[in-house]
Amino acid sequence: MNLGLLMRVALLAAAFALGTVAVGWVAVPVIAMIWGAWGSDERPAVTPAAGAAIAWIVLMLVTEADGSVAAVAAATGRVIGVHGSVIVAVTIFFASALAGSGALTVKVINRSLNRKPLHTN
Amino acid sequence: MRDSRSSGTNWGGWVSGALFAVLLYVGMRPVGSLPALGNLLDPYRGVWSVAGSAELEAVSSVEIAGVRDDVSVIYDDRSVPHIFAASREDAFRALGYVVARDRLFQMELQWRLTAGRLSELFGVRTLGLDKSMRALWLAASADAEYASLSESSGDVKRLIDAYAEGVNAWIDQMNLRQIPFEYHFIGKRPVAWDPVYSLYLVKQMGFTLAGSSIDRRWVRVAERVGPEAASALFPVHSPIQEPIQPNGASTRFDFTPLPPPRINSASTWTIGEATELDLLGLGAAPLNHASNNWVVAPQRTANGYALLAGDPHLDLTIPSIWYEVHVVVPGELDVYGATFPGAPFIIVGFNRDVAWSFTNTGADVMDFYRERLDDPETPTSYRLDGEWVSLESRVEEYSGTGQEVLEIDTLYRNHRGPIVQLGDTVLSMRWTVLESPRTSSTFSALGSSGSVAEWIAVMNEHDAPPQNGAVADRWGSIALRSFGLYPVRPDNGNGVAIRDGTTSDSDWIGYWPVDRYPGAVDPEQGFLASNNQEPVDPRHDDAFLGADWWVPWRAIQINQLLRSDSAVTPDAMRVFQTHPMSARANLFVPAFLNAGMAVPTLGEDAREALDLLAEWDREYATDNERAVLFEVAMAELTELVWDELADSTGRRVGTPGEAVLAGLLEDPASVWWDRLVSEEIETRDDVLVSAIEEAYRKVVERFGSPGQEAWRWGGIRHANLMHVARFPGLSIEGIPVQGGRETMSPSSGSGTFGASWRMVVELGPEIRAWTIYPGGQSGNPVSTRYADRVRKWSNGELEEVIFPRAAEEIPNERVTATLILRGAE
Repeated sequence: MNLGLLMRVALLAAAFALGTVAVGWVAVPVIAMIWGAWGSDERPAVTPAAGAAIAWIVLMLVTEADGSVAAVAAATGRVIGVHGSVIVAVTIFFASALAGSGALTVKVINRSLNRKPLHTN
Repeated sequence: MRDSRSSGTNWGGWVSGALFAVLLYVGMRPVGSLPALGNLLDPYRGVWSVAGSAELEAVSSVEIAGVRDDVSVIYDDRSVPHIFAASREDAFRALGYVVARDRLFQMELQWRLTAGRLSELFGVRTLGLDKSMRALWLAASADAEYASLSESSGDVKRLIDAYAEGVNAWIDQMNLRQIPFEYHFIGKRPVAWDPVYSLYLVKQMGFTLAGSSIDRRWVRVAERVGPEAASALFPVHSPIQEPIQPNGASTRFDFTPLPPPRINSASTWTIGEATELDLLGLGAAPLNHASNNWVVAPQRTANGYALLAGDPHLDLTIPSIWYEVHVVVPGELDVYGATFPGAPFIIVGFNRDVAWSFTNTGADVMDFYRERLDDPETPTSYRLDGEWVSLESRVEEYSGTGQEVLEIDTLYRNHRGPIVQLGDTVLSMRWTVLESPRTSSTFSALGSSGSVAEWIAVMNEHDAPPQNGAVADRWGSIALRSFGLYPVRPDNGNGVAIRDGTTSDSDWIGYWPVDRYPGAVDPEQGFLASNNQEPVDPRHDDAFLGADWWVPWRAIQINQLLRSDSAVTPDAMRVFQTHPMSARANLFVPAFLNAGMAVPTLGEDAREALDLLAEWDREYATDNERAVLFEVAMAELTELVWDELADSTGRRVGTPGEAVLAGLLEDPASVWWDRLVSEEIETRDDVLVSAIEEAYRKVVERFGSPGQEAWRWGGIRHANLMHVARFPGLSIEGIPVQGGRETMSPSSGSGTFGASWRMVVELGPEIRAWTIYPGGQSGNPVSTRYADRVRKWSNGELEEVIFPRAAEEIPNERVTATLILRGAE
């Protein structure tokens, strides 16, 4: 993993974290789509997926400083009917997959749009 | 994910696009029973954030508009807030704030239940419940009461308003992390608290405690076996007398032979089966909630001080229906006890001079009348004394989670109360709970009482729901009295039958005068107890007060315990609260055993069952292995004896109380013992032996042969603390408890009902008190304070309370949090 990739992941993680704090979870797909549209990433899905996962893990760790995340996971799991660890995993997966798929989808659409004139001419 | 730009068909793009769309959808929209995942899983403002508000901040302060002087709230190590304020308004403002901080979701749920507005949170699945509740006109009654408060009781209105300001201050200042857990699952946010919601809770309390009527059951049973038999099966006076007002006897049995049933297999009036009554909420009317309270005079206590014990038996919910609090306004108020979250009163508790607790009286304060309307489809008036009188109508709109209109209907009311139509039959309902403007002022004033006499004077003003109030004071006085509005009916005064509504001659003609209320003050016997039994022996006053009373099993038990102990200690009071002995078993077990000796040929199972029953100590301790056999035998006996009351589907339309069954034991050849389905003529002993024999087979089939651990009572009977909104996983179920049906700490049925609060108070020069309730002070399921009292409660333990006069008196090591409320500029 090169430094550039690490920097991009860190940058995205910071953006996802700040966005989530500022406007909520919708910041994740929005930032991911912006990244997909304008970024020149060789890994348009992996980088935002990693960034979003890190961002939400960090936010959960910050919450852990105030109280027990494990207790929340356990209670939420009881309500939904799964083990608490599943809730943690789903939370991280949700952010990660949302960011990765959002960025890649936009990237693919973008490329498709850019190639269209070649096909039509 | 692989970038698939080289592919002719861009599968990667399709897959990621589809995944993205699905994630966005489940992020924004609920799917099935799952809430929208985006808001739920958001690590900053979603469900994770509740971790940050699970525990109390060690030191905090807040500015609240309206607070005149600083208010100190000191939380002790039991999470009980001790509120020290300079005025009552400030104190109750702070109370609203701290209760909302711990129980906001529960508070909203409760007012919405009474108002019939749960569908705005839960959608169409609670529409039926909303319609039932609105049909009772409880909220409308509370609205009218609140509007009249400024004229009748300005002080109470000021306290209710101050409380609402405190609740709203919490809601307004609440940060994202303080939104209660449950809101994250329903995708809602707390709404502002209207002062009238406090009165909604008072009305809800009335519904819970006085929301059932014998009328409907009586009609159903009368349809089956005739009115004479129905009246004997649901007697106006209890066949076993152990009244609240001492009658000079230990237990008086007053059995009379039951008249034979006149079976009517082709009922013409189907009121008993009508589902519209269920729409009124009456079909789902709560059980008559039971409770215990008793007081012991100084001459019968070890320390020479009066003692009081109270344990209201109500729904076991989590969080609990109670919240424990101490409110101090120097020179004015110093009251400790249990409040309903949302109501600015200490309902059960004590101050420096007096302690009190309530049980439900169970009096009949709800009557039905058969009405005649001008137009059954769109009525405008009803017939009364030969005239058409206008009906009051009210258009009700039911909204869903998105404020969309789910349904609109029109409710009607006449001078008696709500109207319900059952095809061609129209009934009105009169109910004291809808006519009880003084409940809030009564409860508000209790905490300031300085003696038993003062406390009784306050309670004499109480209207509904009817309650047996036990009270003791620091000067050694004790009392117990049944308070509330008791209607006086015309004719024979009986409130059981449904009356003709077209004449005002059917209407109530007044209420019992206060000096006729059953009860006693400082009786010679040195103790008084109430356990929902008929309050006064009909030999002393035979006026109609109700019917089908709770059988006084618990009263017999506690009175025996109190008679046999002339030096009662606070710890003995605690032990009595969960005493496992069963007065019910003491009466019925010998009947089973005697029947076994009387029947000439016993089967193997019957003999084995009777041997096991004979070994039983008649206690419901958790390790007892015989109680289960008795319980199943009693269920079998009930089934066999009351077969005449089964309808065409085999379902019993009503079940007489066990006092009637006990009376039937005295009449071994009664036709009621004979089973309808058999050719032979059965007698008492045949049926008793059949019941124990069948019970034995069932218990063995389910729990294995005797001696197996599966027979242990603690593994069979549990308490279940159900989450207030029935969120799966947030309830605490399967708690082993000591006690069975109608023991001092009763445990029966679904286990969702029982001792919701236990308290013992010693009224010495310095008040000492011990309390417990199932659950914890916090409504946050993530908090360590959510269920921290459950273990001690299930063990029958109590915790001694701190009762400081000033904040400085609380030992530092017992302070867990401090909150200062200051006035906002």
